[in-house]
Order: sequence, then structure tokens, then C-alpha cells
Amino acid sequence: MNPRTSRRDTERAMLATSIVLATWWVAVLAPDAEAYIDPSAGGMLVQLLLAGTAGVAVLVRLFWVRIKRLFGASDSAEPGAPSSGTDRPHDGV
Amino acid sequence: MTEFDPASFRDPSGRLFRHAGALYRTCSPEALASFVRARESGLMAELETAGILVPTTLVESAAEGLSPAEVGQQLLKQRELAMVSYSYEWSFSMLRDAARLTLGALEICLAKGYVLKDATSFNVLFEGTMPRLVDIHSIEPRVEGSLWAGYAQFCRAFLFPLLLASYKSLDPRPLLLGGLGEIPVNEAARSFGWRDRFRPGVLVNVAVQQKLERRFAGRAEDVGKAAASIKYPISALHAQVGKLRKLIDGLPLPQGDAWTSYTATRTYDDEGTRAKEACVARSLEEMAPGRVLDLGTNTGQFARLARRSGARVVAVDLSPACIDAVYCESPGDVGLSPVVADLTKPTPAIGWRNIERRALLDRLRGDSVLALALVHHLRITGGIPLAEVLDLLTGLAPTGVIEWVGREDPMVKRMLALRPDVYEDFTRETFEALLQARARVTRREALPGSRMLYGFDRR
Repeated sequence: MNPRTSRRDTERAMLATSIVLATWWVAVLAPDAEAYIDPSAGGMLVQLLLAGTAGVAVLVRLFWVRIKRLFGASDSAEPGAPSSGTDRPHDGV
Repeated sequence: MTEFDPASFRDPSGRLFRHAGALYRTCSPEALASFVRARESGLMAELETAGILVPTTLVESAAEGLSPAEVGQQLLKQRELAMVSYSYEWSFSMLRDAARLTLGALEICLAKGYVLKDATSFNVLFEGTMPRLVDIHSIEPRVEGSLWAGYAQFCRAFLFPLLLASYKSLDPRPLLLGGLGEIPVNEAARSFGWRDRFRPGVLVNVAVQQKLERRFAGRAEDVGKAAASIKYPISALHAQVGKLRKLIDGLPLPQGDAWTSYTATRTYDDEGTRAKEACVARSLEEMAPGRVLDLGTNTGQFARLARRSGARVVAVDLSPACIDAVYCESPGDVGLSPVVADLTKPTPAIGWRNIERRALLDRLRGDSVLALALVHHLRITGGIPLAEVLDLLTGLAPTGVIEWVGREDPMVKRMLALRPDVYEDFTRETFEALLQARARVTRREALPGSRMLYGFDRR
């Protein structure tokens, strides 16, 4: 087998594994928030997950506080920029 | 004073109203500019040629006999579709085709730099068995690098109900009815077990989306910032739409129900069927209806017979599997409208002020009604008194054919076997007297067995 192909396969497998692990962590281990449910925050974030490496990096940034806490760092909430709602009013008629 | 459609108030782009048999949409300045640009780009023509979009023209309100002060100088005009049905009245294949149509429209829009800003099932109406995109204001220019804002709604309106129907054989219609055409991500996620996460589409679109939604419930600002920070390439959006399409195409049909095999297991033979067909065909010739309501259509045998006579047909049945069979057997027929509905509990009006989406009986009107092998089900299984049944049937259309199936019939015997016989009015004499009190009886024909066909005319 071509060693180059095999290395690419390994890299691809590693990337796939890390995405699966990140997904698993998000889907299973991340605790739920007990607040008002934003109508489509999940929908937007899933698309980030589907967007590939860049999107996953953004997701990781969103989880950064939690990841730091996992390794013993203390909380320091980052202020968020205001944004408009994600679900637009619609009639569908 | 223009009376706007009670379902058009949310979208600031425009409102909908009817005038002289046509549909009009008012346009905000932005929506008007967007439509004109999209039309110049060839997008509208492409969507119309592909049969996706209901033909839409820009008209001057004054030329249409409308007040510009009230509805604006320019308006969008569309033809009105004969029968409106909602996603909670569609079978699996209908919902799937409406989903495909939405994705197909989105792909064409993306290629021209546009996007569908929402993805509710109410954007799609069926013209017979052809789904059409009707909500023109849903099309708007795409902001470069943006995610598809309609994705989550597409999941709630199309993907979740399709996954639940296909994987769990769960009828999504009650959930769609209760949720104004959408199933919330929480309800979808709770309906799937652990093992379902390994089935295509469930882990990411349902489980992960729900977890992310709950996890980031209180951090909408962060999510907005994160989404804005990434330039989502158009190729990624195309790939996402392609994946959704592949997922939806690959879903196995839900299991059938007892009604789909009804034609095979029913209690009369080929001779009886032929006699009944001949009699119904003669009646249709006499009544010459423009529009027929075939109630309890089963797999659509008589709906197709009426269709061959030249009438437009609305075929109603309580069984989603039967309506799916009716739908799949007549692809591309703009004159046959299949509807899943139980006449003992017809679809209510729902939404804002209880008038946003209309009740079935307000939408169901015809020139002739066919009620073949239906009355005994309504009377015995449904518990509806015969007088009420006939009020409904003769009220829906001025003429019609009603089949009487009496107590001697093996099916009726089976229905009565496990319940106390409290159906005193269930006799042929009572039936005839009640029908005569409501309409002129134009036909009284005996079929093999103990069945009778009655024609009525109340004009």
C-alpha cells in the first residue's frame, strides 16, 4: 500500500474519531441548561458541526470555558456580543 | 376593506388576500425589490419551469381593481389552488415529496445567490398530487457566508416527522397538528431510543441538535457570535442540502395498516365490485360533477373512476397508508387531491385566534359526494347517529351516491360482535326515510349481497 495514502487514511481516521468523540461528549456528557429554550441555537450549532474543521473549531471555542474548568481552571465568563434571534417570523402561506 | 388571510400576519414581507378568484400578496419595499431582482436573475422562471413554484406575476393593484392606498402599488398574483391540505393531513410520501420540493427549491435558490428564509410545511401546497412552493416571500438574497436559518424549522416540519414515521412507525400527524405543523426537537429526541442513534440522520439531526439546543439555551448571544464568526461556504450548504436529500430519499416507508389490505379482505367479490363500479359510473354521468368528494376512499378505486369521468376529486380516508397508496398511484395528477382525515374527528381550525389554519370541513366542498361502504363505519365504529351522518353527507355536496351496508353483511356482523347493539336507527328503512327527508332519492339500486346504492339530489 502507498505509505502516503495510508498516512492520509490515518489522519482522516483521527479526525473522524475526534469529531465522534466531540459529538459524544456534547450529546451525552454535557449537562443541560435549565433556561428559556432558544428556538434554534441547536440547529445553528449542528450546522457548525457539519461545516467541517472550521465549524468544529468554533464549537470548541464555545465549549472553552467548560473545557478549562475540566482541567481545573476557574470560571471567567466571556461577555457575548448581542445578536438577533435566529428564527425569523414566517407565515408559510 | 381588504380581508387578509388569517394565516398571514407574521412575515413583515407581505400579507395574503383573495380577490375575484385570485390570490394576492402585498409586498414590503424590501420584498418587492427582492422579487424584482430574483425575477431578473431568472430564478423565478427556473422555479416555475421546474414545476416547483406556483406561477407568480407582479401586477399593478389599480389594474386589478384594488386600492393602492390599502394594498400598495404593486402586488404579487397567484392562482388559487382548489383544495388546501396541511401537513397533518398528508401521508408519508406526500410529506417526503414536500420536503424534497423544499430542498429542490433551496438548491436552485442557492445556485442563484438566494435562499429560503424559512422551511415551514405551510409554504408548500399540493395541487392534486403535485407539491408546489407557494410562499414567494420565503425567497430572499443569501447573505454570503451565512448558515441556513431555515434548517431547524426544516427539521421540525419535515425531517423529524419523517424519521419518526419511518423508523418508529409512529403517525406524526397528531404531533404536527398539536404543534402547528412542527414537532419540537425535544419531542423528537425523546421519541428515539438509544439504538435509534445509529440509524441514519438521528444522531446529528436529532440527538446532538437537542443537546446543543438545551446546552446553549441561555447563551443565544454566544451562539449568534459564533455563527457570525464562521464564513459558511456555499459548497458546505450545498453538501448539507445534498445530505438531507439523500437521508430523506433513503427512508423506508412506514409499515402499512389494516386498511391497505381492506380491498383484498373485504367481504364482497369481483362481481359485486363490477356491479358497483358500473352503477357509480352511471351516477357520475348523470350528476356530471366538476368536483367529487370521495369519502372513505380506501385505496382510491372509485376516486380514480370519478377522475376518469373528468371530475376533480378530493379523496379522503382516515388511513395514512391508504392515502399513501392513492397518492403514489397517481403521480403528477393535478386533479386528484388525497387527504388523510377521520370524518368522526375532522381536522380542527388551529393557530392564532383559532382561525390561522382552517378546519377541514370549511375546506371540503364538492358538487357530488361519494360515500361508498362508509356509513356503517361512521354509525357503528364511530357511534355517529344516522341522521347526523346524512346531515354531513348531504351537506357537503348537493348530489351524491351513498352505499348502504346492512346488518346481514359479514363485515357489519364482525363490527357488532364485540359491542352491545345500541344502533336502533341502523336499518335500511330508517336510512331511506332520513335520506328522503333531506334530498330527492334519484337512484335505488341493489348490489350483490345485501348492499344498496342510493343516489341523491337536493337541488
